[in-house]
Amino acid sequence: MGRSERERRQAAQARLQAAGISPAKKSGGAARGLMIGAVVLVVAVGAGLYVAWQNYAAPVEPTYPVARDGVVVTAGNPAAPVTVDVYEDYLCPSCKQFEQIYGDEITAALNDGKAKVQYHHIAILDDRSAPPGYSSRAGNAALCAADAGIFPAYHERLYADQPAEGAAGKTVEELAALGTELGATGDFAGCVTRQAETQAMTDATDAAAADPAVAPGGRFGTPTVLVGGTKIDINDSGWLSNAING
Amino acid sequence: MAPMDRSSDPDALSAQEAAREHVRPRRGARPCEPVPRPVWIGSAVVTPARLPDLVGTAVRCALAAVWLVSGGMKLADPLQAAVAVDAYRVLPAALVPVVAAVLPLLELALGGLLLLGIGTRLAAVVSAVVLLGFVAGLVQAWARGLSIDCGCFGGGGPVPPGEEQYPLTLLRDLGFLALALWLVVRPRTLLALDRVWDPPAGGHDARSGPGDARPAPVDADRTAGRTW
Repeated sequence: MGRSERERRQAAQARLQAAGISPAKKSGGAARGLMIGAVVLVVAVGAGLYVAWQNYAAPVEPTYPVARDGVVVTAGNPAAPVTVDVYEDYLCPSCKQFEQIYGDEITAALNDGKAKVQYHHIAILDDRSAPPGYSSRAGNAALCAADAGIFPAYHERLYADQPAEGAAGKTVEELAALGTELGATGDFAGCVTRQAETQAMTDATDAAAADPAVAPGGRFGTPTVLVGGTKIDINDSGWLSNAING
Repeated sequence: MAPMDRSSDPDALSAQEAAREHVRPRRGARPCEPVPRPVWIGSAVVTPARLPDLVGTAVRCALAAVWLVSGGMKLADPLQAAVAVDAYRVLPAALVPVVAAVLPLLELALGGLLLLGIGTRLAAVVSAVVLLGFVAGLVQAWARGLSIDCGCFGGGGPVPPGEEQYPLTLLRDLGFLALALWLVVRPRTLLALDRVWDPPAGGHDARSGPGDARPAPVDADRTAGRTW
């Protein structure tokens, strides 16, 4: 070896010339394939970025009212024309992504009074933490947060800090401390410690799984989202604007 | 057609044949040069020299299928794709949806380019980079003790501990990486648009494949018919 690519090419050219052969001119076809390939890849990445940008909503501070009835937290004006039912489990990864992708858009709609969201606190993943029970524990704490006037921020933080499946997740003490950090009023720590809604969440979970509108064909998973009582496809990125604009 | 009888006119050697004569001089010192023997593959006769082309074609189509299937499955369920990306616990939350939106389209684009054989080497290089990223993601997840499904072909996300398939998944990804590297080293394949746009000059299809240590006696080939 030791010869550079260029030298080898020149030598090859020279040998061909010596034999009186003019090598075929470079067709430029290779460059064409390269160009088209590069354009296709750039367009694909650009289209993906565009989709992500379309789904992006500017962060907004929640200003909507929150009320609680048992395990259901109603966010937004109760008289809002569009009713959205959301069934979530705080350990559910898809719920985290649902909140990540649609959270700001939902908050804006709630602030504007265009829709209200009923968050149904259920627990189907209690056995996915070690020790079991994080789903119920976090659900109880979130219901306490509604009473303490910090539900929007608490709800968001529970997803942002979502433990991995198989991890322990926040303890009762840590859940109480998070409420204090977010400015909970009243006896928040006492409420979290009581874990008073565990049985009600279990009952609500069973009821949801038995409701054909929530669990068509008996398949119940989280997140399940209903608009006006009808389950919608959360992969349809326009589900909320379609609901609001009719 | 020129009314010329090749067999009786030694000067009528095609440029192609002459070129072959030239770049493969009979040096006498290479008495063991194997005589290309035809091989039956399907109903087509191919010389052994064309075997790497056939292998490369199969490699290209296999890698194309991998990308098309994996990209399609992810595109069908974007939320699940975001869950799978997030499960690796590498990216900040705000970037997860971005990567989850870009990845399926990039995979489909790579699959399409490879299927048609457009910019094969570029697509192979990008494929290798993406696959290396997947391997790195898997290795870090394994090392950190995360319990996740790779989400390589849709699905994905956290799984109960003990249900991870790290060795199998890694082996599979390394296999895909090997396919990509073959095409990086030797992008020339049959049934490719690259080949239509940039036909091999002088009929020198007998390029050495990867791992073929024999010095390629086809320097002229490197000047023309270079496939990207």
